[in-house]
Parts: sequence; structure tokens; C-alpha cells
Amino acid sequence: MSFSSMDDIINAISALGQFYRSDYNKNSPNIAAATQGCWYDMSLGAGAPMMNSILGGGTNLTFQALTETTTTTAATGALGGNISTTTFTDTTHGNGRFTVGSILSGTGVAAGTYITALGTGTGANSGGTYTINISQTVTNQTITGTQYPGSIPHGGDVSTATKHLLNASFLSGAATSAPVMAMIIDQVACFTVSTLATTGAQTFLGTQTLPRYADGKGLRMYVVPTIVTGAGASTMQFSYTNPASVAGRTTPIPLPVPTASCPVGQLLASGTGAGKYGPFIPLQGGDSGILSVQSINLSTSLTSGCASVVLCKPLATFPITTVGVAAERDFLNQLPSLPRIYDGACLNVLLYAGAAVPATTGFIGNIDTCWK
Amino acid sequence: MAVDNLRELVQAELDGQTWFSTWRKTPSQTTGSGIWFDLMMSPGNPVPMYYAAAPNTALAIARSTDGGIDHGQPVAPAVKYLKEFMIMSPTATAVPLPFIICDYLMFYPFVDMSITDPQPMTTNITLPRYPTGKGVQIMAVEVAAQSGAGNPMFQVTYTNSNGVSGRVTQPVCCNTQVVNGTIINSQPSTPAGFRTAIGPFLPLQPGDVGVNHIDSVQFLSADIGLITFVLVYPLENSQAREILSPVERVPVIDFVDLPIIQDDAFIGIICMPNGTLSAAPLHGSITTVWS
Repeated sequence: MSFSSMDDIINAISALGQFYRSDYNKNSPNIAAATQGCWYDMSLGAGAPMMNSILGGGTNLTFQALTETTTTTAATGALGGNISTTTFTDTTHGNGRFTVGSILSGTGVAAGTYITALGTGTGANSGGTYTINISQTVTNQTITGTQYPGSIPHGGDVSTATKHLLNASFLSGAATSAPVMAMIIDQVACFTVSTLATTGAQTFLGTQTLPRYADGKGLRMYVVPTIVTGAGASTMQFSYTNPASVAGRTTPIPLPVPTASCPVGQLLASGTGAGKYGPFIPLQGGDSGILSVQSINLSTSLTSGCASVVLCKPLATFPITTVGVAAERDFLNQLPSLPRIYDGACLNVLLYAGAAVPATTGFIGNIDTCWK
Repeated sequence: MAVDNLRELVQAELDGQTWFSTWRKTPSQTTGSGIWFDLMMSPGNPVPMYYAAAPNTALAIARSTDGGIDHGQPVAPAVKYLKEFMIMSPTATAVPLPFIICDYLMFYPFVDMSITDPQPMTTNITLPRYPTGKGVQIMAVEVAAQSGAGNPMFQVTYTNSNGVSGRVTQPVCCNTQVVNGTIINSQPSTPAGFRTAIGPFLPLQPGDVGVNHIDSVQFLSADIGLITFVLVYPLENSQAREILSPVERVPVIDFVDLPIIQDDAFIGIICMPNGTLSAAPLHGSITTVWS
């Protein structure tokens, strides 16, 4: 089923109640001011919904499907973790990877406690420290971190009906928050690359069954640091399978990664310099999507860093021209497209910085969805 | 009943099933840029809503008892819709002015910001509309001035729209604006040393899509001042861009939307001014239609 007329939509909204409005707020990533011309993954910023803490988590190089309800976990070993004021110490690491945004639980851990920044912790190193948001004292025990995708709510599962994006808006009242461009994406899957201090092909692992867009058509790929990257004049290239199931496809140009550090949330290979693209990694000529990704290949070892390779479906873009003035989009009359939102879609926002947007600038937006 | 198509919507208006009213708010408060503000605490028409009641105890809000923007009579079993909304201001400091029209449902008044122990909230009533709480949001409205220093943090424990209790909002820090009506959790960017700048509504626990009621509130650091937690259902948003022309919104035509206004809804407005709203008249109108 789907809409066949405007009357169909009115009926769905008014008579059937098949409509959902969602207001959300996302901060730009907690880094120095954004670099003009670069793209940023707002899902790694705080706000409501909470940040996507799955990126950078999970198991190194292993396929992780993303839905709005996906969770992953990390844990210290038995009696292997404690908290002193705002420092969580993973004295003896157990399993998984702690990330910024991981919500901590354990006996005596205050509700709402989450990791706000990395200290000496890199996700899975014994003895690593992390900054948390609530000052408290917790003695040695098993402490678990739960990671969420931070999806913008869109009304829940509606199958066998089909859901569409009707309207959307996006704005900020903060100084130097415009001009920017926002892009709503559906994050479909990701891979954590826990070490960039290596060269040669790193093969991705796990069965790659896409939770949505099963044939991979229209899916794009971006790479975002979840731990700041260290120095190293490297390029990167991917091997992937296209929607026609042709394997061995390669991204055509070995893209340069920044020779200095690249902050968390800034998309690698995006920017205005030579060889830069953005936000997505270009595909081999003739390809219109990605069915699976086989490997990432760095030409030169970086000194440090961790990144997440994300497969996503771009759904809509909006330019924000003026501080305090929302970009508003009507996807029926204004830009006829009615982007489809699948059950389980993990909606988030990418941001193109046309200005030096300050760190943790708050943006607010809303989406209206409707289904039949 | 409900409208099934545009023809029925037009017919309903031809049949007289429509209501037009005007409203005006002239805030006396000096507001800052990028901070959300509750216009219902400002002078004008409708009269202000001061959220005065027994501390920490839920009280329902309704058109018939508390006012709000006039949207016409109860119409059940018909369904009432927001057909048109207009807003304008002749004062430059107010614009650009994004705003959200909300149905105000329930509030917990006079929560003391100086207490760092958990403060239980008493809820002896159910939500008067949107009974499960799906889509219902929390905003924290300043009703007695905070100090404006230190950005005290707080978090709210609530029961979500699935009836699950013990859910907690992310801890958020207060802004520094000291006038009544300030949505104290909103700010355009994060103060140094804190983590989250948020919009008008508190960030719910991951996976939640609404609030049924509030269980308790805890300030992680103390300040002077009182706040009221208001549960609202956002209906529609728009913005006044500049002072020379009113902004008109016809949801069904402009943005393929048809917000439903429940019988006895208390309709109010929150906004995010570009500067001070003090002595900035805001005028507007609302048209509803039902079938």
C-alpha cells in the first residue's frame, strides 16, 4: 500500500491517525569550531535523541546492522571497573568497546550516567579512563556500557503500510550557525576500524545482511573518526560489491585522509582541499550503490585513531541560510519526493559547515511522517 | 468522523464548522537570543498562565478552566483541525522568531532548584489528552528567577508512553536567563564544561517517544529559583522571518499536515526570539475547522 492521492494523505492523517510528528535537537560534535567546507556526523553530537554511541563500538572490522532499536554493549571484567568523581576507570577490560555516549550501569551507578569524553581509554584497553557526566563514587565491580544508535524517532514500525517523510525543518539560533546544509540520512550499517595505525587491506568480517535497502541500491558510504586520528599522510581505498552483486569494485581514487589530526565527527575525505570529497566516498564508475564492503586499505599508517565506516541512504537535504531561520521542506508539494522511511530506519543528520560553526552548537528540527 | 479529503474540508467550512479568533502577546520579559520562551507566561490575550498550584503535584490544563488561545467549541464526535495560523510582530528584536504551537496538558509547579535530593512528583490524575503520552514532551519553565550563574544540572525520572517507569532524561544544565517564562533547559550552545545544549524539550531516554507522567526530579547542583515542568504535545511549527510581513501557515496546503486539536485543548505557543521580547507585541490569529 501507499498513497495514491493527496486525499489519501489527508485521510491517513485525519481519519486514521497514521501520522507522527517528531521534534529533535542535535549538537554539532564536541570539537573545535567546524572547518568550513567539511561535513560532520551530527549523530556523534549530544542532544535529543542521544548521540550514536554504536559507531566506534562493537567488534573491530565486523559488520553491524543499524536499526533504531539496535543496542550493543561493552563491559569491564568482574570487579574490573570503578568510578571516582567524574572518571570511570576500566581497570580490567571485559568485552566490547566503550564509546562516548555509552550509558553506564552497575550497582550504585547513578541513573543517566554516560561517557562524555575519552581519557586514556580507547574503548577496550585495560586501565583506560573515561570522563562521565555525573560525579559519584562506585567501588570495583562489573560496569556495563550500553550503546544506542540515537535515531530520530519516526513513528515506529508500520508494515504492511509504507511510511513517508512529509515535512522537515532544521534551524539554530546560535551565532555562526549559518550558512550550513543538513542532510537527513538512514544509517543502515557500520564497521568499526579500531586501528588506523596499519597499512594494507583490512578485511571486513561478518555476514553482511542489510536490514533495509537489501539490494544496496542508493546506499552510500562515509568514514568518520570516533577517536581523533593521529598524523600520517595516508590515502584510503575501499573494495566493495555493487548492487548487481559484482564484487571487487574499488573506490576509484585513493582518497587522502588529513595529514594532521581529524577530529571526532568530521567526515574523513570531506573538505575543500585537493582530492577531497564529501560527504560520501565516490564509487567506481557506473555503480549506484553498495551491497557490501570487503576491505579498507590505508596506504600509510597513522599514529593513532579509530574510525567508523557507515553505510547510509541519503533521504533529504536542506540549506540553512540565516541564523534563527528554519529551513523547511514539504516533500509533497514543494519538492515532490515523499522519501520512504522503512521500518527500523535509523535517522540521523549530516551537517555541511558553510561557516565555522562553534563546538556543540545546538540545532533543532522536526520531521512529520505519514503512512498508509 | 473526520475529514477524508480536501472536498470535505472545504464543505465543513461552508457548513459553518469553523472558528476564527485572534490573539496578542506583549511580553514584558527581557529575553536573549536563541533561548526558548513560553509565551503563555506573558501579558496579553489570552491571559497569562502562571502555573500556580500546589508544589510538585500534577495539575491538568484545559481550555475550559485555564484559557489558552481560543480554538472554538468542543466538537466531538467530530474532529477539529488547525486550518490556519498567523503571527506577526512590528518589533525587530523579536525576529527571526521560530515558534511551536503546543497543546499544554499538565504541569508540576514550583519545583525548588535549591534541593539536591530527589524530589518526588505526585501524579493523582491522568493526562487529559493524548492519554498514553505518545508524542508528549517535557519542558522546564522558569517561574521564579534562578541566579543565572553556574548552570545547575538536573534530570527527570518519568514514566514513558509505554507505561515503563524509572526512565530518566539526560542530565541537562540550566541556561543563565533569569526571567519568568524562560525554558530553562534550552540554550543555543553548550556552556563550557557541560555537554548538552538542547532545544525546548528535555532529551528522553533512548528509545522513548513520549512521557506519561513525571516520577521525580533531581538537581545535581543547587541554585535559587523555581521551575515548573510542563507536559506538552507539539502541534505545528513555523516562524516569523521579519517585521514587514506576517507569516501565514495553512498546514494542509503548505506542509501537507493537518494538526488535530482535541476538545478542551489548551493551545499555547513557545518561541525562540532573536533578541529581547520585552515590549515586542506579537499578534496572530487562528482558524480551526471540524467535521
